Amino acid sequence: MERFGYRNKILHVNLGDRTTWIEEPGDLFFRRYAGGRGLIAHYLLKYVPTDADPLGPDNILVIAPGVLTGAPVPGAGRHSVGAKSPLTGFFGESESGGFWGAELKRAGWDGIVIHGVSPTPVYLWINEGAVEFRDAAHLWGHITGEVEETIVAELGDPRIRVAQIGPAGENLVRFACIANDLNEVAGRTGMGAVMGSKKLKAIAVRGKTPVKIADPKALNAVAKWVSGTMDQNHRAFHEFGTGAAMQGKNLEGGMPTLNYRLGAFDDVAKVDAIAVRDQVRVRMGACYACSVRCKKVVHIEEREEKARQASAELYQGKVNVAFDPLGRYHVDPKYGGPEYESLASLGVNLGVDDLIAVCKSNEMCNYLAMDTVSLGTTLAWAMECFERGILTLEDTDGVPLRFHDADGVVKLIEMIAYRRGIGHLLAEGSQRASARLGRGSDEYLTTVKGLEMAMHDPRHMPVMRASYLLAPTGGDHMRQTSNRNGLRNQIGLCHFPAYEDPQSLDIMKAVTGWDLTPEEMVTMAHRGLTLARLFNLREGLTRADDRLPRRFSDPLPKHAGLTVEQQAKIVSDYYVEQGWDAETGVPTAATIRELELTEDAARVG
Amino acid sequence: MTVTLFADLRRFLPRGADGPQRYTVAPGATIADLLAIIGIPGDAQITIGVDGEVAERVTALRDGADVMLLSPMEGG
Repeated sequence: MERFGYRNKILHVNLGDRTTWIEEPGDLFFRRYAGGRGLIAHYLLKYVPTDADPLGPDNILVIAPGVLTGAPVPGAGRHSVGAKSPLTGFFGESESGGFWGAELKRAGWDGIVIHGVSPTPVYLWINEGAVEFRDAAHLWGHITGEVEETIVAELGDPRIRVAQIGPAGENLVRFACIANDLNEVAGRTGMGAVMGSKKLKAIAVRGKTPVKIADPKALNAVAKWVSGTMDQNHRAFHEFGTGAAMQGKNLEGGMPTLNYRLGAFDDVAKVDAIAVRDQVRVRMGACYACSVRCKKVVHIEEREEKARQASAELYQGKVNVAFDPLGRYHVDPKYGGPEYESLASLGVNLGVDDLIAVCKSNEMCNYLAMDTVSLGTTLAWAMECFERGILTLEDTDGVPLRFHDADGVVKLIEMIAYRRGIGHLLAEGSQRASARLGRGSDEYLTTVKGLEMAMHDPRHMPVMRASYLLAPTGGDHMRQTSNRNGLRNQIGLCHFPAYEDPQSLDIMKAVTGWDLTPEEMVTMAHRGLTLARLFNLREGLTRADDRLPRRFSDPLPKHAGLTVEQQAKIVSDYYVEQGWDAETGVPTAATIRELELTEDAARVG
Repeated sequence: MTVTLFADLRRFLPRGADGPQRYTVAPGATIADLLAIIGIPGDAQITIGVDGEVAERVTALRDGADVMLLSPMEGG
């Protein structure tokens, strides 16, 4: 039977005994789970025993593109990574763009399930159907740029794509991420720490077989629609990337500032995407097959003379390379540039208005491979504790943790990645750090289920409330709770192209050839969310975990706080909408049957 | 008055233009009148700022006002 969009091949890897095997789960499996969250939750329920240590040998790491990943259409360059999260102890999942996921599909694989722990550092080399375990002792301890360079040189093919952890993952920083293509990251929920615990430094991939498309003409029409309507539909993303509306958020009083205490920052215009474009950006980059090109690339030299030289030699004098007037920082363009979340979490929410330092912080988070959101938010919590005298210089070995201290943030990033001094405590994430510290420090947390919330204040944005309260991953802003957004997470489609639901359906049909209905698409997403809920319930999650931290009951200058009753209503309404018990959030037997999840649900016990 | 268009709304800038633009409106005109001159549809979801404060479509404009027009975005 001819297959489109997927090949029916899941690679299983056991790092303990260095064996691999191929699973061919069948067509129904792909139509049921589709990829991403669905695939991850299915395998977590199947292979991870209840109460497993997220950083122990029983956890698995699942690399899950979707059925669309690798199709030649804008937005189809996404893949998900999942495991039991070392930050939350619940369902962990994060997505990334770039080219790596598409390359994995081109190599013929619909997913990778990584079991066990390697006794020594290792990396995987996947060359089409061939899978090789390679020693990574010489790569351990190195930053991502060095590792990619070494792997590409030793395998001898410049078109190899690498996903990898940095020193933060090796050191089990609980919000370490997995970076691919150097400037894309599966950032959230600590997937890099899981990979580090397995001593798996990298996965290098090379694929030469394009994903088969059922109706190339129809898919091409969608791709042309994106490029042909760029000005109407994607102008801001195309021109600025994310972060071009920060002044609007500020004006509305919803810009997370000084650990979410204020909704506005006087100097927001110094660190938004417009400032990035005008001052430090050298070009825009793209993900696989995407004409939107929303990825910022920044380049900063320490000295004016070096900046002029770089401008002439690297960019033929067409762009001005920025320099740091204080001569402090060089920022390498190979690590991309800061997205909105990073501009906000490493800038505004820390009271930092120094764009060059924010870019340096972002670059360091990329090459050390840490999530900028959890890192910035953990620092914001620590700074507020320091300000209130809960954390003292005695606790921090004399290192001050002060808002507005741009250079201090840069230093702390390295301390966290290498778990030095106070960095050892902060590498645990804010919720664990607070539990260890005590002293009432939990009052200032901005975590849900242990995951630091992203840079969209739910007091300002009603649409974010359900996302933060109910995302299976915790304080996640990607509105995964809605079946529409949930679908994109599952099939491997970016949220940024302005596809309407019928277009998403057209893309799915064109790629897979499946005779899908809009209802089946919604069911697909519903199934993924319910599977993740089942995993969380098995790991001890209760309704009490579906709540916002206390801070969000306080009002902002322009927005009211969210009461416990308001939150409870959102939670109950969502439970009912999803076909879960209105009180407990346990999926009902009817919902399990309807979603064809009887076998998965049986693993919950 | 000076008008700055942000994010997606920059598609309403005159061709080749960048940065704040100067517009003139009749005495007593409102933000809605200004939006019509710029060509922004009446039902567009936007945030309006006048002299650093959130404003509505019915807000009257004063001479020399500093207007910001922003479209909501998220993600990153």
